[in-house]
Amino acid sequence: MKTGCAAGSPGNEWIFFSSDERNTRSRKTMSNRALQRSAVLSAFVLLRAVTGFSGDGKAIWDKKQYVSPVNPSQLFLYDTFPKNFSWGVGTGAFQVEGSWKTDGRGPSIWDRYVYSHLRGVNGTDRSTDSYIFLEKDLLALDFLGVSFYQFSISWPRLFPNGTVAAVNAQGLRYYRALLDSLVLRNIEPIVTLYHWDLPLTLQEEYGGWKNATMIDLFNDYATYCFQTFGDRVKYWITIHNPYLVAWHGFGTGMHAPGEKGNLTAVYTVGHNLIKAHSKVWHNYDKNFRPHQKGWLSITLGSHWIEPNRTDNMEDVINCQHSMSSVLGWFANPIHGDGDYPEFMKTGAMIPEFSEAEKEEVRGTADFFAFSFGPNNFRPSNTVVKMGQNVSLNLRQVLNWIKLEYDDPQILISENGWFTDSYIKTEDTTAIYMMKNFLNQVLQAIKFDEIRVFGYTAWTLLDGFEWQDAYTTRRGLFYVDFNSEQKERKPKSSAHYYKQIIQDNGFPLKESTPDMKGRFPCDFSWGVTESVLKPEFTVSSPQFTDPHLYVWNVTGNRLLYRVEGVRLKTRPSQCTDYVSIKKRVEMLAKMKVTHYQFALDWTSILPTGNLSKVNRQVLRYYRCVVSEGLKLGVFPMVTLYHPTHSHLGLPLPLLSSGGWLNMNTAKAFQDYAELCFRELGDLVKLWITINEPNRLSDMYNRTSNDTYRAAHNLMIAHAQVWHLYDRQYRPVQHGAVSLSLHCDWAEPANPFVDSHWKAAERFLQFEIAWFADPLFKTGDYPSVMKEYIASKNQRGLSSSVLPRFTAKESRLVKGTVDFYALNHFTTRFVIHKQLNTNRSVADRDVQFLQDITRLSSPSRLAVTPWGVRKLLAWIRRNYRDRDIYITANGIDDLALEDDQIRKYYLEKYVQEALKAYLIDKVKIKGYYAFKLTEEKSKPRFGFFTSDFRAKSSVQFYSKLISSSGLPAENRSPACGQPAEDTDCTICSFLVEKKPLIFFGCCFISTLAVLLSITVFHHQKRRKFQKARNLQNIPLKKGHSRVFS
Amino acid sequence: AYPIPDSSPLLQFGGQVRQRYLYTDDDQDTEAHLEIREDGTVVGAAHRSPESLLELKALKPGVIQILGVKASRFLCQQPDGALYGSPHFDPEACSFRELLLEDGYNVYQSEAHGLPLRLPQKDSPNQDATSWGPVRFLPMPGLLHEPQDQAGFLPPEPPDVGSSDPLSMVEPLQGRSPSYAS
Repeated sequence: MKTGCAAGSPGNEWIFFSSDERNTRSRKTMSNRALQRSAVLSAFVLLRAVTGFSGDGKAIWDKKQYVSPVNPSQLFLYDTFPKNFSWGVGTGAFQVEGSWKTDGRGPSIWDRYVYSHLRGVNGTDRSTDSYIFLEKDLLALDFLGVSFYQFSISWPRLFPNGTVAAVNAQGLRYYRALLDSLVLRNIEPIVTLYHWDLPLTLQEEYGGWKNATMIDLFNDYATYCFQTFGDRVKYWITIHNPYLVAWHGFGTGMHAPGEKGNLTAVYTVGHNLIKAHSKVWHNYDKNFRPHQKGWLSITLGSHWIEPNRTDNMEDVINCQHSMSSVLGWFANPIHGDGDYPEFMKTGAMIPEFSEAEKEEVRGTADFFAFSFGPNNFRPSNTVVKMGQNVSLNLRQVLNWIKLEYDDPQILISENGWFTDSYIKTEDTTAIYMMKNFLNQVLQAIKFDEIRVFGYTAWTLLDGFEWQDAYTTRRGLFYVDFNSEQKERKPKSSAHYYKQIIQDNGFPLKESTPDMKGRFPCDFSWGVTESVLKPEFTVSSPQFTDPHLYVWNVTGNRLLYRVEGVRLKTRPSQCTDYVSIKKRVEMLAKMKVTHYQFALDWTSILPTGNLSKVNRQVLRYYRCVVSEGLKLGVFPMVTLYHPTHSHLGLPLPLLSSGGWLNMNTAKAFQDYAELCFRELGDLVKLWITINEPNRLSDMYNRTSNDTYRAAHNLMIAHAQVWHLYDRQYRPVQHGAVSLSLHCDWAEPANPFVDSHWKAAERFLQFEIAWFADPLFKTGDYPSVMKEYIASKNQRGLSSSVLPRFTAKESRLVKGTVDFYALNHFTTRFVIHKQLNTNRSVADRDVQFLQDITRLSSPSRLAVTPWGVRKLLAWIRRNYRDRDIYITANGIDDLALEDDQIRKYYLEKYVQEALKAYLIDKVKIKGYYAFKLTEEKSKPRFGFFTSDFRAKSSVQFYSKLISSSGLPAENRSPACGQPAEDTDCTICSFLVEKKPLIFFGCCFISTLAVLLSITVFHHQKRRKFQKARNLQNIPLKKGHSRVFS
Repeated sequence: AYPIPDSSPLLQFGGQVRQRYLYTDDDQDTEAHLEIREDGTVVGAAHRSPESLLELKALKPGVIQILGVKASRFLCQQPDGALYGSPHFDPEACSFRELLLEDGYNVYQSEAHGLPLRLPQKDSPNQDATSWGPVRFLPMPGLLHEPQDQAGFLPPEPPDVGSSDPLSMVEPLQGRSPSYAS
């Protein structure tokens, strides 16, 4: 060897070139590297200084305090990672290199395993071919912009027989070329020495890792790598996920070498892997670190676990045992006290460490390299769950590591999930999994002070996925394994990761920061109810019973009617309805200015026509309205509000086909006229139909039924609007509209053009379906018509959109006085071709739940910015029009402190305020959804089903009193002076209460005395008058006549 | 001095009774609890149920009987290893030896035949499973009254780790309107 080196002048040239290049790179990145070195070195000092481990991981499940889902530490964190955070990507050699039988590579245990166990997969002739296409891998790395690349060296490619006897020159050349290219690109290599492809000879001659001889053989191999590559490699990983090597290689048989059922072998293998790692660490620490100045660790992988019941100690202990059996198995010896977890030592099969060995293996890692990926979760029955629930919460497991191993520096060495093999570049779910994992890491860094210094997205390229072979994909870059050139095509996840690296995290990109402001004085602050079930009779019969009763007259405690006596009765009053009284109390507590509820058509007209009108029900509704008005609460009444459980049509209409029958529209007109006549003097805001664009859930036998029913609904609405416009508006001066379900839509995958189109198409099929005919053209949106026609041509749909006749078009056009919208959430839309016979299939969209967003128990995502975008979209499409948000709310399981609802209200009102003040959208009212809830239904109510107020009631009433979100030092709000005066009077009254009381007494006494005096005075005048009469003299004439 | 309740020496031989769920995650794609139904069938149930609450009673050191509390049937094993629930206790068929493993799991073997307790297979394609090793059961404490979930807080659903979408992000159907839910 020495002679060869001396003789080879090309070798000398190479050394010079490499040295020069290395110096250049070092100068460029000295500051960053110095920071890293300092940080990691301090971690090293801390780790070596630890004399014992804390082992306090169990505390993570002992948390008694419940953290609210709206607590900032739980919400998606818009922030950046530390400035010197390292972003990387990784591969395993056997997964991507290919060229298994060429250029002198020796066989590995996986080569044989593929042949013997994965026979159905043609593993020998398909591959990613990184060995051949190194340049393409480098282009992929350049695309991402990573600061490090973690890859493994294939042991049998360097040493075909495993022993460090004669290196394979071609393999050596490949790794040198790879390392030189990385150095040239300023990408830090992180090299894994063993990623599972053990030379087959070592398995056959020694029995592989079951044999302790492997420890020295591995050390020899590592020594060669340090000598050969250590000048360019500063980060080493000895073994990738030794748990899987032992457990699946010798326990379940799912990994090479495929032995199974031998727990003794499993633990022996684990023991030897730990010793091998430790020996290599000491070797590097003693012989190479002084001049190569690198860091070395071992990648440990695990699952995460949550207890069935957090308040159950046994479940918590089982969780700790689960983590100890997997991660603790290797982490305790290396990062802890040098010995196995206590729980594992209760078994007889686990080997023992002598005291000298404990000292040897303890602290043999310069940082904690952690793997959290699907291989530690699948198959489900191979995971040590101890009867608890696995979880994908990366933040929690990082916290566990911090508590258990005394806050080490952590490199996330493998993280990500997989996609199905048929997915090419559009891996939308992978984006959200990455977003979820990465934000959990960011939360761990920012809130929990976990010292994560780097993240490795797994994996760079699609490749061989071990027991899954080629049935799953994990790459950021798509590779067609059957193609010749194996082009690396960036998937959506590659674009997303590239963006994250550029931004160094998740900077807040809100266009407008939160603002302080107020809605106008005439703004409608409302609350929405659904169908208001009427009471058919008053609840106080004593006021209508004219009889007199006596009780217990004969000692038997019964009432007896007294015959012959009739008492005076009075007509029933509105407050005699118990439910109205309750409702008025709730409205008063909320301080709303408006109340929206729906009439029950079935109760008012049981037969559907005017032959039988239930006057009692009409009176009930009139009472609701009038009692509200006394309170200063104005009504918005919905004529027809269908629900899933009740379509809301009178039975004869329902039996004759419902809205598929045009006669229903006529009946609706008669019903509307009755309501206008009976209630129209009090009601000035009418909604004809609530969310007709969601009635498709009921008429979904075929898409044509859906479209026909919708068509008839529009005509019915238009006829009612014309009726009101013609006969009642001149007298009642009200406004009529219908409310549409208006969720906003965003592309689930912003890197795919088809998702943008799908989002706009969703809005057309969801909103413009009704809004275009009524607000604009009198016809269906052209996008909708053209799309359905194109699907018909391709044979993917047989839907027929009804056609508006010229008369119908004139009838429906312009038949809305304001825009009423119900908005609950924003939907993330995926383009997906559908070909069922339902109308929802015509739009070719699927929905994605963004798991990183706060959402309710019914999985409504809290996306406040969506309502502002929706309002802008409506303004853009339907001109400047009065807009009422007639329903906006979310479900919350809490019975008292509904924090999600309060958070939702604040954020959505904030966005509506921006739309009003900045975008100049003419928002006239906001109606929170909804007043009460029913048992065993989603909890959307401000009041529980037994009418108890939740904390959001006070929150909303405060919003209303402030007219929005004003700054503190602003001028008084609407009616504030009057309120001040009232408050002043109130305080005066309270303060001077005794004085007022005695003052009233004095005045009343004085009044009594004065009245007595006046009475006495009148009597005296009468007496004087009588005396005056006696003094009248008699005339002489009278005297002569008498004599 | 008042006597300690049940301090009579005659009660010392009353026997120890434990209420447990027998949980296993071997040889199945999903976890299972041993369940004795009222018709005598013995199955593995993914979730706990009243039928899976068992009463483990010691007969002699290391040997127990297993009674389904709901069905009032004893867990018994046929000579070929098949399990059934019997209303009557047969010492030969219904006695099990309880072997404690080092990892907290237990193995139960028929005292008479030495066959391990194994939940019935459901068309298992993996024929090698029988040679993998004895089925392990974890005795989970049985609570007579499950505590109700704290209002407003639900534990997250366990992820479907066999799926490329383990957190069920993609919804096949359009979500229903809250306005229609009442």
